[in-house]
Amino acid sequence: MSIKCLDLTHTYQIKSPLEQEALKNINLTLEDGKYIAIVGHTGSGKSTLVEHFNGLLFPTSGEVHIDDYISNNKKRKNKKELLKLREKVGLVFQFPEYQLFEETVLKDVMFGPKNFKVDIETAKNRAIEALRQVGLDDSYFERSPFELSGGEKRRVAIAGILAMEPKILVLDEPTAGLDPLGAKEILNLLKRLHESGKTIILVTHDMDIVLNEVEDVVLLKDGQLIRHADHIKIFEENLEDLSLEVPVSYKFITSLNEHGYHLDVKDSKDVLKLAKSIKEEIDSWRR
Amino acid sequence: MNVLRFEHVFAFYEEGKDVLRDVSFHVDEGEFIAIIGHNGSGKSTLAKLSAGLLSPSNGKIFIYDELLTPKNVQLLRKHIGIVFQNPDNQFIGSSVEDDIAFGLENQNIPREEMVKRVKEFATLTGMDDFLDKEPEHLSGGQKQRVAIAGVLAMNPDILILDEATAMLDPKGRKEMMDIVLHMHELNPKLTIILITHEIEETLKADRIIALNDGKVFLEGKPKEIYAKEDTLRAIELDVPFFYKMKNALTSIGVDVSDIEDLKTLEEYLCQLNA
Ligand SMILES: Nc1ncnc2c1ncn2[C@@H]1O[C@H](COP(=O)(O)OP(=O)(O)O)[C@@H](O)[C@H]1O
Ligand SMILES: Nc1ncnc2c1ncn2[C@@H]1O[C@H](COP(=O)(O)OP(=O)(O)O)[C@@H](O)[C@H]1O
Ligand SMILES: [Mg+2]
Ligand SMILES: [Mg+2]
Repeated sequence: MSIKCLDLTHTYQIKSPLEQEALKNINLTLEDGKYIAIVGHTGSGKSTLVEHFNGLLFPTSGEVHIDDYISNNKKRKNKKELLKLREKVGLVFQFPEYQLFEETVLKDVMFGPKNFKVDIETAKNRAIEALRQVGLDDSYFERSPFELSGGEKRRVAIAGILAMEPKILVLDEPTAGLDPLGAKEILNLLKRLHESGKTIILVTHDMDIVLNEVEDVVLLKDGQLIRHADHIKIFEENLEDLSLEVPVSYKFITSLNEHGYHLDVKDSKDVLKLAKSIKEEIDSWRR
Repeated sequence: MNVLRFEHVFAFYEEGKDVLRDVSFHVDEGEFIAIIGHNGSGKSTLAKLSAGLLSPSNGKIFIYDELLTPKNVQLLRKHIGIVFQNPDNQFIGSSVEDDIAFGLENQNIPREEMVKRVKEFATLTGMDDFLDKEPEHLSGGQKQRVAIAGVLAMNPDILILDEATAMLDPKGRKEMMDIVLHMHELNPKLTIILITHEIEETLKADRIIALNDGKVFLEGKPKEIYAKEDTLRAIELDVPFFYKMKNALTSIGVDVSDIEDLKTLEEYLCQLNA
């Protein structure tokens, strides 16, 4: 089940003074089962792009193929088909915790599946399973979402989407505004979901996530696709010109490698391993 | 002179649930202090107490060596400019311009000077195109820029930034930090208290205070704090890459004890292969 963009263009407020071409002729194939990051400066079109993946936005021109669903500007939107699409592709908005509203955690998570005409019992079972997946046990079920920490609230919001059992999970800046511990919990969760076979597409500014978590990267600039590549290869681009921050660990490793070291950027999180490689190299030069 | 001093401060929101417990520390004039700690550790509470927006249940707070009391709180608060975590809590004006000007209006600054300053700080923070816009239509990051512009325009003696850039992207965050550090250079008497989760931002601080569970967990210079990597790890606080690398190299017998920043470490290691 892949996502294919064919000459996808999206223009907001077309033919008004505020007309804004947010996506320009994007051609892109996102494969099944991958863990993908969408990166780019603020306003580069990341949110606009992912909102096409579950039929929240439709192309101004061009097409998006999600499995057998074809999204373009011509077809009248068939509600049933759209609902089917949204069952397959779950989208977690930026700051999704602002949209929690039920009086208990369990009810909030059940809301999604109930909307898809699943019976109450099934909705409840799915909600419990989803909460378990995000690491919230039954002591949370009857609590009010509003008394939880920021990280916990976000996990409840993600559970609400997981309970619809999507094959593709899309998350818009899922770690933004969280403290490091909260962010780590979310990233661990996404890693587990990916390992269990889900396709994960996340929007982020955080190049540490790109370096250490994902497989592929889609790089946008001013609504255009700059590159779609392996997560390490993407660092060949001049990211700082694209307003992205290259992690200090990456800069350090590449700088040393330019001076005769042979460090692996994939070890950037394992500092002790890097240190040992550095020492080996130094010792060999001394000999 | 201490511009700010806590002596055995306790605080709670609900009777019986202390969120700060026996907190003592001092901040000298012109210092740049970073405060780190998990969510819920008490950082924002500490900020509110410093600005006189909350009173301690026990203990004493001094501003410029003067004991903070209900009587002088209005007066002493004038020294302090604070940007809160959630920018929605501090918008009052109907336009960005009004909002940046708000703090100045209480300072009896001539109208002309005020307009000039608003424009200056809006430009500095990249919000000059938004002066006539309504704050509620801005993105979270833009609201944070406006809040920072407003507080800098007031030219405070003590600047408290409570996760003030969390909603900006990395580039925006760096821009705001550069502005603050530049203000510090221009005015060495400006005292900065930076509450942040961005561990790399703490490297330039004179001192770091790590809070945990309402208590001061560690306090000292960055190099002292981050040498205690295991202690920080035990409460799951992170350490900047430079110190991780320095500590790791040291632990396997590569002597880099004199090196104080990543650039120097890089240069040192590179020249070994000469
Ligand atoms: N509802 C909208 N109406 C008009 N312009 C919009 C709207 N949403 C986004 N835009 C504009 O489209 C461009 C891309 O926005 P967005 O997809 O939100 O970028 P990103 O998520 O990368 O920050 C920006 O210039 C933005 O201002
Ligand atoms: N207005 C409030 N009412 C009740 N409890 C609060 C309030 N604000 C904060 N707390 C509680 O006080 C503790 C410390 O919070 P805070 O100072 O905001 O921590 P931090 O800023 O480090 O995340 C937390 O347990 C928090 O839930
Ligand atoms: Mg976006
Ligand atoms: Mg706080």
